[in-house]
Amino acid sequence: MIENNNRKDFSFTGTATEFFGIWIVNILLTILTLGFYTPWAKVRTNRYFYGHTHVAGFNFDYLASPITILKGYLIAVVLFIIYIVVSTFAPGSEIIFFLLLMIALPFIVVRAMAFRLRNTAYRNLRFRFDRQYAQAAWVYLGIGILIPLTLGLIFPYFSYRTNKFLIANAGYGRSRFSFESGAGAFYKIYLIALGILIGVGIVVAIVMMPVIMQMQTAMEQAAQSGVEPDPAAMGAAMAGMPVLIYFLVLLLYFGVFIYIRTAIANLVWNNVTLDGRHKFESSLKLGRMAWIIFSNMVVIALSLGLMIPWSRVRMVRYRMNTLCLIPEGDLDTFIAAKAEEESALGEEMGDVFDMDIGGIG
Amino acid sequence: MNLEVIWHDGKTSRAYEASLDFNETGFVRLSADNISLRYALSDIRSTEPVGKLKPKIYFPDGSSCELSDLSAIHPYLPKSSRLFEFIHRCESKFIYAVGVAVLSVGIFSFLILYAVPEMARQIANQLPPLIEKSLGRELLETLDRIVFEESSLTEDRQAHLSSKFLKSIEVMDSTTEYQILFRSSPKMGANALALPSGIIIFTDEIVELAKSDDALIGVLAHEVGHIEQHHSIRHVLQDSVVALLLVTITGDISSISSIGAALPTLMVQLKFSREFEAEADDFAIRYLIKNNISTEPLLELLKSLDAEYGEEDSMVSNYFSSHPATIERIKKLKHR
Repeated sequence: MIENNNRKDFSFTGTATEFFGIWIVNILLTILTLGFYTPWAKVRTNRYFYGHTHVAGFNFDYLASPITILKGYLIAVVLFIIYIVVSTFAPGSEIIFFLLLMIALPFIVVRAMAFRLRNTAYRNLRFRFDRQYAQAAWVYLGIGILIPLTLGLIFPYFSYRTNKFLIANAGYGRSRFSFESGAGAFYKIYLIALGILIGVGIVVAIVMMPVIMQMQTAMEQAAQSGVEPDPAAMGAAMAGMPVLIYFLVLLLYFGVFIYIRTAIANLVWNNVTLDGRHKFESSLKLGRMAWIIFSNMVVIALSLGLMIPWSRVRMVRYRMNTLCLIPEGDLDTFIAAKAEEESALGEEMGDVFDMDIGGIG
Repeated sequence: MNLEVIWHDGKTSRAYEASLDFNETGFVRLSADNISLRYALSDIRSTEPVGKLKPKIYFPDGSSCELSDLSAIHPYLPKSSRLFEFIHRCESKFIYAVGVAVLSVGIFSFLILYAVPEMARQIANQLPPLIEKSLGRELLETLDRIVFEESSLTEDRQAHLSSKFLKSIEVMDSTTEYQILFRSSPKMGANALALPSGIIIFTDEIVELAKSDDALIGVLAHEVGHIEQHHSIRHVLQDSVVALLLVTITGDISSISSIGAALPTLMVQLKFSREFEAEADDFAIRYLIKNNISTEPLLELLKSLDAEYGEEDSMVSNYFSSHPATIERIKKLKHR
């Protein structure tokens, strides 16, 4: 570990009140224009979040033009309508659409990343993403298809390869990002997750066993002594048990899911290198993440959605507060790369077909 | 006028301390280190303001600088669009934003409570019967696979009920071709279902629970009400539009926090469901009265359904229920 006092913390300076205004105006205009305002809404939101994210004295910029996004959006919407119409009149054709979408997936991922990164700038220098379609096809389809065949055993490796693919093809100006973790660290995270599932399962079983046994003996005693057990109380106890267990299992899955997300975000950021020397450090805490996500959910539900801006700002602020850049040397020497215009089709396809593209963020 | 700024040349990540000199009309002179550049003011582009973000201006060569305040050079810049200035004013004053929020909530309520149901009704009435047919067939196949078993009622009993039911429907002057089916379903219990295109299914359990055929005629009329008013299609349409509206608000469905937004959506969808049930009840009551059939047997059946499967009626459970409270339904029947 290299000692380096020259740490540059990321920070987020946006506020919930300010974002609320942007968000609510976006919603109103999106409804009034029957959705055509969506690209402008997206650009304003991204500009707000990028612009309020600072590191080493400067903020980020989101430069995409709403008109470019609108074109991609319209194409995606037309494709989506074709999908709805065809699958209504020819049931069973969904599978063909699904296969086509799967085949197009690597293309969409690459285009979406390229569009997003090319339109992200820092110190007036753009990021970029190399369009390696063949590599994308190999990672997402070639390895992806092995997931069901290996009963999921290869999933941590798949997660490793997709992250590596997304990072190693990204660049800032002419400099490249690289990813230095191996697949082992990903397996470790998923093994721990599995361990938590099994461990908690055993503990719950041990705790619940005596309770169930006790209920059983109580019932038998009641039957022997000829006293009718109070049916209402028994019914309530019997009905309450599965609900409680169901709720606990749900909570457990939720916790494990957040663990995986948090651990992988930390792992990925801690192994990203820019230009072979600048490093990053992410120190997200599981408890804090779980608390933020859980309380956000509750607050959003109780406020009928009006607190969504607050919850988003809160999440981003925590993520930025736990991220820092550890530069090795000068940050002034990055040089711009030549890049072509990127259409927004990929990114909008991902939006409309509901895929989470670019897992790093 | 002179302004001190941090300038980025767009070719490297270096930050220059630079000064902008606006003293020549129509031009700006930029000097940093030993660089001196001259741009026409009409070539300068500024970003649309968003929130309190400091604006950036871009020069024709791709270089840029951040200004703490655009007003200093505002007169020199090409006019930015009136519309976006207005949008920015609305979003940056909290009191305006609250106004916009009230307006949005109003529009959403109007859409969800009135416009969407009305639109769904119009569409459902104009939909070619072909679509309802294929939808009904598919639904029946799925239900047969997951919840239904073959009926244990005798063939005679089935035939008797079928013909009686079809005769009752005949007087309604409907153009729909009805089909009556019987299935056993321990999973569902006593229930009757209406599938689009005129398929009505009675479970053995409800046939056994009913004390008279007249009670079943009441149930039949309720289900016919669902079909005649295209409830299935309207339900699907309304639910999907509301889900689409949810996506508009949350921006993305992928983030886990927005699971929280699913709760209000669910409540709206359940409200739709209750309204359809009430509409079908009204249809059944009208039918029974018109044909001089007592509502009493249906009332009895609802009461025994309530006794068998009833859950407590409370404010909370009403909001999370797909059917109106049985008490309400019984009250309505009694009133006639």
